[in-house]
Amino acid sequence: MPRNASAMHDALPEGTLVERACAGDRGAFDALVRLHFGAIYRMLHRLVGNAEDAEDLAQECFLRAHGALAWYRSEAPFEAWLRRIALHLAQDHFRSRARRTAWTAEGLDVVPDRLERRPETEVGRRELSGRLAAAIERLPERLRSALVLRALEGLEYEDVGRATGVTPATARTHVMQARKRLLRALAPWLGTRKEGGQR
Amino acid sequence: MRCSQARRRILASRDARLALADRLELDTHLQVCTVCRALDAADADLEEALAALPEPPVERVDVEAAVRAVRVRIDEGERERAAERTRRVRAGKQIGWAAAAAAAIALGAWALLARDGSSPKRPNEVVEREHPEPVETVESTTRFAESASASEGRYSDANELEASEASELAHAPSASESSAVPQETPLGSSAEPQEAPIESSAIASEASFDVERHDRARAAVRETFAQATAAHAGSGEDPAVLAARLQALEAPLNNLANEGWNVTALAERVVADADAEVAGLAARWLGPKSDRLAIRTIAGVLRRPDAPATLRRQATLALLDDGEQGIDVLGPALLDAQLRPLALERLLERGGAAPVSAVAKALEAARTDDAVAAELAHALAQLGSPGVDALIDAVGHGGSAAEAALAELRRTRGAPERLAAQLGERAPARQLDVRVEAAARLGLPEVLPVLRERALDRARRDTALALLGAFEGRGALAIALELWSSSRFGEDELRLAARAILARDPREGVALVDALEEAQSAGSLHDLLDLTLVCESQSAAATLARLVASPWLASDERQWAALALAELGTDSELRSLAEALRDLEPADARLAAACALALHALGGPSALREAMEVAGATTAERLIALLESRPSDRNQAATISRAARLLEPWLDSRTPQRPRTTP
Repeated sequence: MPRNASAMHDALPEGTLVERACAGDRGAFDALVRLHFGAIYRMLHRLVGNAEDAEDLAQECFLRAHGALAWYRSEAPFEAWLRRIALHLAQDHFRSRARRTAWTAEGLDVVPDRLERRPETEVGRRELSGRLAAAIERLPERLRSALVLRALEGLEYEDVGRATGVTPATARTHVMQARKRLLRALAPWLGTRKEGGQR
Repeated sequence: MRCSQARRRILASRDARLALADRLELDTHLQVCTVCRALDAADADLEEALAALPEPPVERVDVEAAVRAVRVRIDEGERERAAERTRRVRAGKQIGWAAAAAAAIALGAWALLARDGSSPKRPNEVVEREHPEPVETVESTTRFAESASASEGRYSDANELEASEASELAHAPSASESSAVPQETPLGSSAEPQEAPIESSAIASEASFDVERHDRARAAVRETFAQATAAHAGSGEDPAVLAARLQALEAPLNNLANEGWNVTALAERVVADADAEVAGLAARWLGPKSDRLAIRTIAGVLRRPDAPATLRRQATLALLDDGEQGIDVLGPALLDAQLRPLALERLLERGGAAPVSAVAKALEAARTDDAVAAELAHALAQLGSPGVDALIDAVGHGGSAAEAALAELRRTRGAPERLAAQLGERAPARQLDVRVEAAARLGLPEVLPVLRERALDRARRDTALALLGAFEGRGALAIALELWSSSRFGEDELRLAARAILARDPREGVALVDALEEAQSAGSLHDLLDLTLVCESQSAAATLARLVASPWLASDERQWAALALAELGTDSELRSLAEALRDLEPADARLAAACALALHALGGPSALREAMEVAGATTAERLIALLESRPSDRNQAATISRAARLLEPWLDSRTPQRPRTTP
């Protein structure tokens, strides 16, 4: 596509781009990919935990979206619709990965030394961050999806529910269950610095 | 509160959704439960750790390369699908010719048998059987699509989209039907060469799902709306213009519907049209049809912030035209600053249950926006008794919604009385809890017995005490005192409630002392002193000062009050302390010493000199010298004894001048 045509598409509002893409405008769809690829990639990266799989799945997500454009209606935000497709792909990915690899209890029960247990130190922060990422990966699929969308992607519960195919109340329960499991898994690293947080 | 409840609330509190009462209840529990406090601390750490997780490296991704890769894969897929379609059509045609040959053979055999007289039939029976199957097929397909869209539990957007699309396609006339009706339509389909009806079912199916024909139908519907808009200039909000446009739509859309197209489904697409007037007209045409999917499409416009203002207004009006279904999804309009006045005006005109429900839902959603919540609550107040009931329920939502609802309930005539009456009615537990909370926040005295009763119930004690603390009226301290006197409560349980009551209105304690003195209830005054001392709060100072002067208390009790005042009081209590000091007898020398100590602590030497007046100037100087030579935290008892001895002559000198007041 000529450079100026691409720039023209990029300047259009999302609603118009979606309309045009539905009508078969290839440039408009490319502009939509350009617009949303980063967000979808970021979400998938948080869900699957590595860059290669995230990029492959993000491409697949847009491919599927193109195939299903005829079913898209403007009543739901386009990005929410994409997120839902991406989430389904990530779930398929988890299932196939679960079949391929055996579960390993990778050191979550190792008691940390004193320095690692202090989150106010750099060592402690790094340690907690690494453990947290590992613990999130170990959460059951539905809890992980809900937690990532809510706590890391900052979606409202309605959007989390829409993306994961449950009601907002169930999405809230999933997030709470995920937090509970994380608290249990990371118990030696948490709550050592102060009492209570800002509510 | 049980630990399990506290844990649930700790986890929920990170979403900042706890109502005031819940928060107070949780804070109370955290003060006494180390396990839950540890969980709270751990959860705070987890929250920080989640926020500090490194961002995925989005900047390292080559988006342009990804766009190209997606494009290449799309093109490959399209080529493959085109090749597959061609293969299927060829295979279908072959099957079709074979089926046609078989049918011809069967027809020939039947004709031979009929001529032999083995199966005599009347002519009209033959006519009846000439076309039954195609008609039945079309009807059953339509019925299937309609029943599928009506009965399937379509909870997800994607399913709804599929069902609606299937409905559009199922209603699309097949090539054979179009050729059988040679009339001029906006599609111009009759002019196009069509496949013969003898084609096989595979070919017929291919024709009925012809995407190009479907697109042309969509374009025709769009064009119809565009022409109606162009033919009658003006704003679509003008009723006359709207009526003329709707009139212009009637004939062409009826023609399309007669051809078998699902015009409602096709018109839904026009709601997303780039021309706001055309899209708005489509929304207004769809509005009164009460079609669930159409309503969702129109409501979708309100959720698109980039949609033109004209279209958003028309979508709002369309939903209002629809009735209850449309009003139910009017929420985004009620939360939009530009659309809210229009929506509220129409809803107030309409009245009834649906507007109340819509505004109440919007109020719940406006949990953090004070101005919006106030406007919505005001609208509810104007919707009569159901609106007042909705305002009461909104108190349970917390945040801005609760505050706005309470403000409106205070202003609305008859609302507090209605709420008070509802306290005695049977209702689900949650609803009753909300009513009690609302009544407490409004300061309705009728709720005080309910709060006392609930406080005595262990399961509901924490909430009841938190609400007693939040009670916005007189009488709460009397209930707290009653509970305290029952000896069934620990210090920690009642401290927060009493502190909150006195912080909101420090004069409530003074009024209660007056009332108890009038009732000559020395025992209650003693308990009140205990409760006030337990508060350990500056807000209790006025009550303590009043208790120092109460003749119904024993001298040593008044002494405790004075000493507590030395720590908690401010210069506001100097006057009443001075009066109390001047009113004492020689037998109360230790109490006088405690008062002098408090006066010195709160107002310095000048306060003591002023209180003892000119007649006691010498004594005052001696006292000041004594108090300044001894830090207040060292052997206070000895200091008071020495001060009492110094004060005795001054008290003696004052005794004959004043009447005895001790009962």
